[in-house]
Amino acid sequence: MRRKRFGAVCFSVSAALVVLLLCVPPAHGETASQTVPEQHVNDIFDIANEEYKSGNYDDAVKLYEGLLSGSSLEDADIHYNLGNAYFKLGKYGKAIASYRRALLISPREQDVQANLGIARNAVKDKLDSPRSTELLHEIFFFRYDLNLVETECIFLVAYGAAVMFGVISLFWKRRTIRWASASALVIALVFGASLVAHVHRRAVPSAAVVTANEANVHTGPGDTYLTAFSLHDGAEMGIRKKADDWYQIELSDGRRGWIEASSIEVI
Amino acid sequence: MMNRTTAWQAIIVSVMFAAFVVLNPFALSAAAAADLAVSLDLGSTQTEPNEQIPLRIVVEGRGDFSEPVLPDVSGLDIAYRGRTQSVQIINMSVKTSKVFNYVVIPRRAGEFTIGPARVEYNGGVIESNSAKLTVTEATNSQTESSHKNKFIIEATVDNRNPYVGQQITLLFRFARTPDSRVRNAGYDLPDLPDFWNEGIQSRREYTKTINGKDYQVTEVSIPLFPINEGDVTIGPLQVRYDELVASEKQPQSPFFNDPFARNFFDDDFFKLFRAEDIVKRTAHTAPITIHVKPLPEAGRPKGFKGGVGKFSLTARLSNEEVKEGESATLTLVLSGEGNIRDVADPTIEMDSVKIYSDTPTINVKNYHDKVVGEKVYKLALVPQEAGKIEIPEVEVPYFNPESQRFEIASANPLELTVVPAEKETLEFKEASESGRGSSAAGKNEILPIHERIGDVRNSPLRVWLPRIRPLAYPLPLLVYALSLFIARRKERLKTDVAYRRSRLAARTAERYLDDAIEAYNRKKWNDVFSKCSRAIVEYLAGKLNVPAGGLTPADVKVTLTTRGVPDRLVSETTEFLEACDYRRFTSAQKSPAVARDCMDRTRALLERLEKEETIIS
Repeated sequence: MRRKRFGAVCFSVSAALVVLLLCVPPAHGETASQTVPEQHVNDIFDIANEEYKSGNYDDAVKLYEGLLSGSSLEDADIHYNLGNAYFKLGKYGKAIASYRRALLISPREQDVQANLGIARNAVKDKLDSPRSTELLHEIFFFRYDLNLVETECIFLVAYGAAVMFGVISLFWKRRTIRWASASALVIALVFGASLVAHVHRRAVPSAAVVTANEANVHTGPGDTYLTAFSLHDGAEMGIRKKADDWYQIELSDGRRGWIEASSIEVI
Repeated sequence: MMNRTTAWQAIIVSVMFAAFVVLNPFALSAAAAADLAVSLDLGSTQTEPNEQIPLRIVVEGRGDFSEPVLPDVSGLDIAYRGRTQSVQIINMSVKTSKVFNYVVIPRRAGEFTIGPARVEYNGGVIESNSAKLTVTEATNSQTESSHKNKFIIEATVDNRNPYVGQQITLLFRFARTPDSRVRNAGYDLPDLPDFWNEGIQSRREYTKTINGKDYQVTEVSIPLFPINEGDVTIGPLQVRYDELVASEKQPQSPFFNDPFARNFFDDDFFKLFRAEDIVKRTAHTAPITIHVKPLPEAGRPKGFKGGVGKFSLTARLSNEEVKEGESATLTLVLSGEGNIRDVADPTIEMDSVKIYSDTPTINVKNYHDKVVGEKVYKLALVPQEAGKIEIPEVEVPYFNPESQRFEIASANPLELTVVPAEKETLEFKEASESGRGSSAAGKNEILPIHERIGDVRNSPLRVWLPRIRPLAYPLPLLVYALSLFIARRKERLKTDVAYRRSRLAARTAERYLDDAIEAYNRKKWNDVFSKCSRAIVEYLAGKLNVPAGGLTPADVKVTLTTRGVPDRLVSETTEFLEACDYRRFTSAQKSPAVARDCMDRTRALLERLEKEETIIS
């Protein structure tokens, strides 16, 4: 009787998770239009790098951005180099946005983390970050240290293992097999949830950075509302909701307000 | 000829007249006067010194004209109180008028003539009528309105000799007797160009006895901060209210006798509901002149920006320990009573620490008629070196009007521990083919660009994942579902006898049919009939979960009929079983054809029984 219930639970949970994952939009940007031929990507990347080394950062930015918008590939190195070019131009907000996009693709890339730290130090607004964030990062490291593809692979392996052990346990009644199946199922659930979070984060961006030199944060979605405070190039924030051309934002220190969409870049 | 001369004379006269009319300024003035009308209206013709009489100059007409100019009258103060404009449409013609409001305050008794007011228009001057005002000696020194027995309106300040920036409180009182009926009372503050007004007035209601009479008093206190030195005046404060007056007799409308001009509400029906009249009234307080003292020069500290009041300053750090290069937030809170907006911002300078300041937030409120507030500064401190950092005492100068000297609001020094930043990996990796490699990051120098696009792009994961995804998600679930079905069926076959017999009945019957074929091949006809009969009986026993041993055709008939099997099938089955028994146990003809027919009938009967759902137990 217990065995039957266990099998039914495994089946239900797996089915729910798989249905959820099948319902979410495609995880990758396969639908992006591709105007840069695959064979020319490396050549353009090399030219952009040469422009960067020559100090022509504006041209380098144009080439890197052209690569990103004109090809379906999402590469951390292009975002990283683009961030460097923006940093050299003194556009710290754009640089931070590029570094953060690179980290979404390669979360453990140390060069990106180092340059992001330097860019953050260079911005004018220094915002307190809540201590709980660091603790969350420690606990849910797999959410922050693994990218979408890695998370999906681990999920699929764990999911397959859970099903495989589940099938074996149906015919070969051994407690170790059932434990193995349950363990794999737990791992699949954890990484499945992380995968859903990754995909949701892509579909509904929740972070932004100020790219204007100075941006006023108002108490409501419009210029007619009072200015609550000002932010400067590079200030990072979370997005709560959007109304027309205005975003309601929340800073890490808890302050909230509305900022014009043209003043920020959503990551 | 005469007629032609007369015509020429008429033309010449007409042209000359037209030229005269167009070019003559007096004619222009007359035409202008016809377009514009100016009238002067004095609220009262008799008053006492320091009373306030409203004066209105109404300019009717359209076009650009100057503001009215009133001649000075010795002994009278005439203060301008703004203007209003009205547009009326009467009989499809638009009539516009501008009303210029003044207040006339007599300073002594006497006879005065006000006006005429002059308005310039189209190069001409238009004059209004004049008005006479008789000012008699005052009988009461207290400032009262014309309804002095019912209403008292006054304005005072709590300090007539403040310093620049020191808060004074303008107290405005509107007292009325309990029997007076007042509605829609409101007041208009005068222009206060010499003061800063935070707009956080407070309001109180209380009862007070004045000259032996009880009054209900509404008191409004308005905190003001003088911004200019010398004698400054707080102009008359105007009060507007509607007084409900019992209508002792019906007012006689000037059109009352004219049936065509009667007001709709003069109808007898409406008079039933009109027991009192609403009288719109306005009154003004006397202007108040105060002397604003400059702040003393002696002892004025460096960095003083004009803060006057009593303030204190506190400081706190978000973290007492930070890593080198990370930021700690220093929060400075300046709080106290006075013009907190004018207090100088605190300055702080430290070597080896970068300081980023934010726009301070200011909150002020009215606390017991005093403006108190809080100004919060947030400064991000980014230490550039490890070690102990002493955040020095932060000082803000202000002038305390109570002690009449400059004082300093200061925050205690704080200490910030800066620990060395975690060293970046100083391993200079061998430059790989792609040119990638981590190196230490300088303080403000970013790591170099990557020379080659990374492996992520061509990683097997990225290549294979999209391909296997359509199968990887549903396939394990399907496999598990199938396995679960098989396992359950297997389990049931093992534990449920009836189910197992039912599932295996057809297979058992097939086995007996195979035996029958073998017997047929060996030409053992009795065995053929026996095996065919056995196939049907075993099948039914399995399906019905009954012992096959004692199942006679009669039992089969009863059992099948009980199960609801169609009568035709029941009779066919029993007849077949009886026929088999007949051929086995009698000497009836036993040819191969009959045996073959028996086997065929057995197979056909089994197929029909298999399709009959009611047989299953």
